[in-house]
Parts: sequence; C-alpha cells; structure tokens
Amino acid sequence: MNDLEDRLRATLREAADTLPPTPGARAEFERRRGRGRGVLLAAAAAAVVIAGVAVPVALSGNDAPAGHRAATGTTSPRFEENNAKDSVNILGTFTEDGITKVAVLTVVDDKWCVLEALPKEPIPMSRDCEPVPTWPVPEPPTSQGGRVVTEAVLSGGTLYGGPLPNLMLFITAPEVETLEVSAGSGGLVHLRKVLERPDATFILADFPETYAGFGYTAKDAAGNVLESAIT
Amino acid sequence: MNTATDPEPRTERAGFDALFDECFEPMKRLAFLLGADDPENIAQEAFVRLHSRWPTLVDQDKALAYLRRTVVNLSRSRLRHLRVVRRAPRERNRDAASAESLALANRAVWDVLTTLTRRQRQVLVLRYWLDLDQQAIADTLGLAVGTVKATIHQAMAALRTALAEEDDR
Repeated sequence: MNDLEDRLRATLREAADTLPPTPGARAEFERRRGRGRGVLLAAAAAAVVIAGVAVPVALSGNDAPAGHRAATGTTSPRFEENNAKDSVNILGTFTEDGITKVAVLTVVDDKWCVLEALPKEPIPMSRDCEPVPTWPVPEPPTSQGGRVVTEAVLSGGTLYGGPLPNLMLFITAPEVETLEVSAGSGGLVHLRKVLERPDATFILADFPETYAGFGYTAKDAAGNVLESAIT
Repeated sequence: MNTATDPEPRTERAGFDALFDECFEPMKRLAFLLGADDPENIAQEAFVRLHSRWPTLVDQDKALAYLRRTVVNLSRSRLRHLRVVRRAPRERNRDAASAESLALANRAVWDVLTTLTRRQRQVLVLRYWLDLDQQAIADTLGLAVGTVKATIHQAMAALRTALAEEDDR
C-alpha cells in the first residue's frame, strides 16, 4: 500500500466519522415502511418498467386493444436484422467524464446482463447477471405469464435515468415472431434485433426521447397477438 | 409475502433488524462520501426498498450488495435531481462543511476528491472506504471489471497530480 492510498483511506474514514449517528433511525424506518405500503401500488407501474415485466393497462389474449393498434399504425414492422450472434453486443455509445463508453449486452450460457464498459473491453460480465427468462415469466401482470421482459439500458434503477434514457431492451419468448413498440407519443419505435437464441430474443428499442408511456404488441408467426401493453 | 396483518416470521425479521442495526450508519456514510446532501434519507430509502425485496434476498451478501447498489443509485439520482432543480453551480454543501472539520493534511485530499468526476469518486470510495475488490465494485456500479480498473487508475492519477500541484504552492 502506498502513501497516497493511506492518505485516501484516512481521509475517507475521517470524513465519514464527521457524521454523527442518527437518533431514532429505526423508528423512522418503521414510519416509512408503513407509509410505503400505501404508495407501493401507485409506484409499482412506473418502477417495474425499469427492469422487469412491463405493467400494461390493457392486456389481450388474441386481440390487440383497439386504442393500441390505432396508436401504432397499421403496418407491422419486422425487426431490423442484425447478424450479431455473438454473446457480446454493443447497445449504445455515450461519453461520460470525457471518456467514450458503451452499453454492452453480454449473454453467456444462461446468464445475461447489460453493463457499462470501455469500448474494447472483452466480454464484460458481472456476478449479478440474470438468468435468461424461462417462459412464460411467472410474474404479473398476466395470469398466463408474460412473454416479454423489458430492461431500461443502464438506468441504474432510476426511472428515465442513466446515460441512455432512450434505449430499452426487450427480451421475448421464442414464440414471439414480431414485436411492435410505440413511444408515449404513439409513434412506432425503431427496433433492432440484437441477439437471437433458441430460448430468447434480445431486441433493442431506440425511443425518440425516453421510454415514458411506451407500449408494445407481441405476435406469433400466425399474426395472433400474444401480449399487448401500454404502460 | 407478508401483509400488514400477518406478522413476519421471527427469523426473517430478526435478520433484517440485525442488518439494519449493523449497516444503517455505514450506508448513510457511504451516501455522504458519494456526495449526497441527504445521506440519512438515502439510507432510509435503501432499507425500505430492501425490505420490500427481503424474501428474495436469502443470504446477507446479496442483501448487502443490493443495499450498496441502491445507495449508489439513489445518491446519483439525487445529485442529478438537485442539479436540475437548482440550475446553479455546485454550491456549498455538506462536503464543504465536513471538509472544514478535517485535519489540514487530509483536507487537501478531501478537496481534491470532491473535484473528481462522479464515477472516479464512486470507485475510490468503494475501493478505499468499503474495501471492495474490483469485481464487487463492478457489480455495485454495473461496470465491467476492466472499466473499474481503468477508472481507479485514472482517479488515482488525478488525485496524485492535484495533490502534487497543491504541494507546489
């Protein structure tokens, strides 16, 4: 350990110790926890969009909601094909603190994750990479289980946060043949198929601004709507 | 899942309570060192979020990792929010107030630390205050390990340069 590291440790320890203990922290937690129950449902729809299954205001089995169909138009865009079959895929590029960085989707074996990395970094992985979903995902909102999972790219758990608030990753079940995604304004969003595997397809949606109010419709090969949602 | 009317299983609640007692102050201090001006609020919010996920975080390592990630993310979003709301240059905040109480030798380091980029400051705090290894820092920040390594290197170089300039004055 060198002198600079010693000084840094001492400084951080000393700065941290300037904070006095918080009296009544436990009581405050209990108060918030009680209050949290009341607002949890209201916040759930927004929060789950960051990473999870999008909460729809309308779901369909075989028919898309009329309003959604009108909002997305009558054309049924296919994905922009991408030859990327590799397990490392760049989703977007951004500059932070003057350094060019990339958002990378890594899928290795049955795990996937989106990480911030330097452009030439080989196969960035994390201990917190998540399992590729097994379908249908056993979560609300649909009692039949979902066939589409969404993840805002590098949001850091913050709604519309992170350096790429316009990008959202959709992971779809194998039976999903086409996916339409609409922005809050109602316009269709450009999609890029990033990676296709036998067990899941990873599709990137590039929104004009943010994914606020987005919607999607997933269809099978016969054109039947498997799942549709407006958040 | 527990409800308001169902008492939590004793072991679950005891485990959470123990973690709260052990980690509330460190998480509050982590938020402070990352530059948050309301570290108590952030630590509280992190524990409220942890509590809602407690049944899925069976081992304490996962719970701690979740807490760290939440504190880092909340500190970042809080800072961003304040910047947007205030529309003003970074003002005198608790960083500055706290720095005044530091010994002079360490105050120079603290002053430089507060001028580093957000990411540089994050990696230094996680590495040299929490003593996390590069992999754990990567997991906490959602970075690749190589990016963590490079960022630590850049941050230490920036710190070294700034302190050398300080010494030359």
